[in-house]
Amino acid sequence: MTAMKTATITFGFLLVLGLLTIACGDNTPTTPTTPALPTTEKFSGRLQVQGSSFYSFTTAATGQVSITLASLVPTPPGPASNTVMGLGVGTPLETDCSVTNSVATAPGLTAQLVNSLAAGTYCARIYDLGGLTAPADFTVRIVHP
Amino acid sequence: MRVAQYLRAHTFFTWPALVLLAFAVLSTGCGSDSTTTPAPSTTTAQTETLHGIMAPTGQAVRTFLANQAGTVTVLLADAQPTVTLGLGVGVRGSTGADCRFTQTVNTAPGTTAQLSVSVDPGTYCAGAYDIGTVGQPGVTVTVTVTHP
Repeated sequence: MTAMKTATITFGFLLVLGLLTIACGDNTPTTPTTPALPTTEKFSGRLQVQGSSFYSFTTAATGQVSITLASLVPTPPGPASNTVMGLGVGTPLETDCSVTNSVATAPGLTAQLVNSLAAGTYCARIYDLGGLTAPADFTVRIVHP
Repeated sequence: MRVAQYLRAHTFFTWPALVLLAFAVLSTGCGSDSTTTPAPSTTTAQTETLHGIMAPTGQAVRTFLANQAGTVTVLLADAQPTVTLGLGVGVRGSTGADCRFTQTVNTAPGTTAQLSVSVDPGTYCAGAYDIGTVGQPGVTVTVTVTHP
């Protein structure tokens, strides 16, 4: 009887240890969801005095669209021009860009025009506000969803 | 053997007690993990150096990645032979072939940054270009860029 009781108790301890071993295993790892990285596009060209140029792009989702007039150089590679230009965003209209938001800005490396836009097709437009005295090479950077 | 005698002497080590003990241990031992607050991200400024030989009418440019918004500084640290050069910072054009400068300055080599500009996160370029002062066979330049 005593031997049986001892065996029972021993079995009980083993059961407890077994439960602890299997119950406290590693949790199943969950894969974190990674938000989609924004897309960066650039458009470059040579802008004539009193001229304009635009570039169409498509956003995959609603989100922030940042447009930067990054460079304006009459005689590449330099010196860089600080001329204030028109920079706008809108929607393509036939062979032009119908601007809905715009800003007058000098070139820089932080976005001068930031808008929250729904998914769709848009255009960015650069245009001379009268400050250009000679044609100039430009680069506009667009970051969008 | 002594353990068995001890257990026999203490009646609380019975089957029900063992089951209760098991549940108690499981309840307390497998509680939810405590949440850890992520450490705030700290980004130190990075310094990159361009060292090259620039031909007459040419440019020597390095591309770099700013991981976050901040200030970029550009230093023309050395030019051999010593000449005044154009120094610029900007972005690569749509073809990626050339560096389209946003800010430029004509400068001799120095020890403090000659250019400083605020940037958004992104890819940029900086370097030196000939402003008509570079003769044959060229000039050896060292440009240092510090960025976030």
